[in-house]
Amino acid sequence: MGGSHDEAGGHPAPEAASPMRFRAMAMRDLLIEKGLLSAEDVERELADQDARSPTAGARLVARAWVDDEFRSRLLSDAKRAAAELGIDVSDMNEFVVLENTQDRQHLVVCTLCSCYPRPVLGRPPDWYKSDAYRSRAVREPRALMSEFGYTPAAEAEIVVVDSTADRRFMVLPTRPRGTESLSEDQLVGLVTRDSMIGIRPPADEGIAGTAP
Amino acid sequence: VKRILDRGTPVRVLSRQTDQHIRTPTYVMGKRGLITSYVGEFQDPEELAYGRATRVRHLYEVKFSLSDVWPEQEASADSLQLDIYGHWLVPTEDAIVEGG
Repeated sequence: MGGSHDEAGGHPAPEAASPMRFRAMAMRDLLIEKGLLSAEDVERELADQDARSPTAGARLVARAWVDDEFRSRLLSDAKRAAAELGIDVSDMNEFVVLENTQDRQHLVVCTLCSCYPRPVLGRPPDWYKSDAYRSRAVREPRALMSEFGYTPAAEAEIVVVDSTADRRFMVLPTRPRGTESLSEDQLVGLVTRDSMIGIRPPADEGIAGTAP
Repeated sequence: VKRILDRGTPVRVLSRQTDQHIRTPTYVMGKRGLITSYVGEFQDPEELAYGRATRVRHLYEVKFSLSDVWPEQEASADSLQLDIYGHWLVPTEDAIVEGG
């Protein structure tokens, strides 16, 4: 649904009963009963959500790594740049791509709920929605990153971006070393979801690298 | 509609106690930051949440020093960036320095 604040929807076949699931199911049934939504609308939305994955974001990143003009367009108008690659981001009010450099690195969080650029990254991982991540990201981003196995340079500035309003954010990580000879398609395979949230970069090739 | 705050303007985030839906996290209430850009006009989420006909609000990108927001922590050159609606911000003449 097009609302700006993400919350998990109900699923028709819950595996585990939780209060949140019962609430979501009750909401769904009421909306259908009142004729505001049809069961088909709910099924279609779930199918759309399931079809989304971080591959869309990875395609944006890989193209930006190989094409400087695309990179500029991605940073100045991410919605238009996404449309160029046939990626539908119409669900997001505003879409902003944050450029990482050696000197400045971004970490995305939503402390108020779980806002996430779903059209380009799919569903958020559970840790992204956890209270621990949401509270610690804005307080001790470096400690959090190190728990994900990444130690940013002391000289680099970490900018924690809290998605409080109508914009959704994705990080453009720096291109890993040792990838100069790779094709754009091969690069897509290197871009991780976590690197587009900003919690840890994609691995350098030839160090922890796995050939695509 | 109030005037638009320029980029670089030092601001303070208002502290308001409310049990209504707001999009200003409590951890920046009372804190000082700098306007880094003007995002645009958006419908007021505080009214939108209750299905009311909404007012348009200016939205700003505001940058805070991590050390200003968490003064009890070890000093840090890292920062926080939040989008905050104009009715939560007041321009302040104070220099952006560590402390209350």
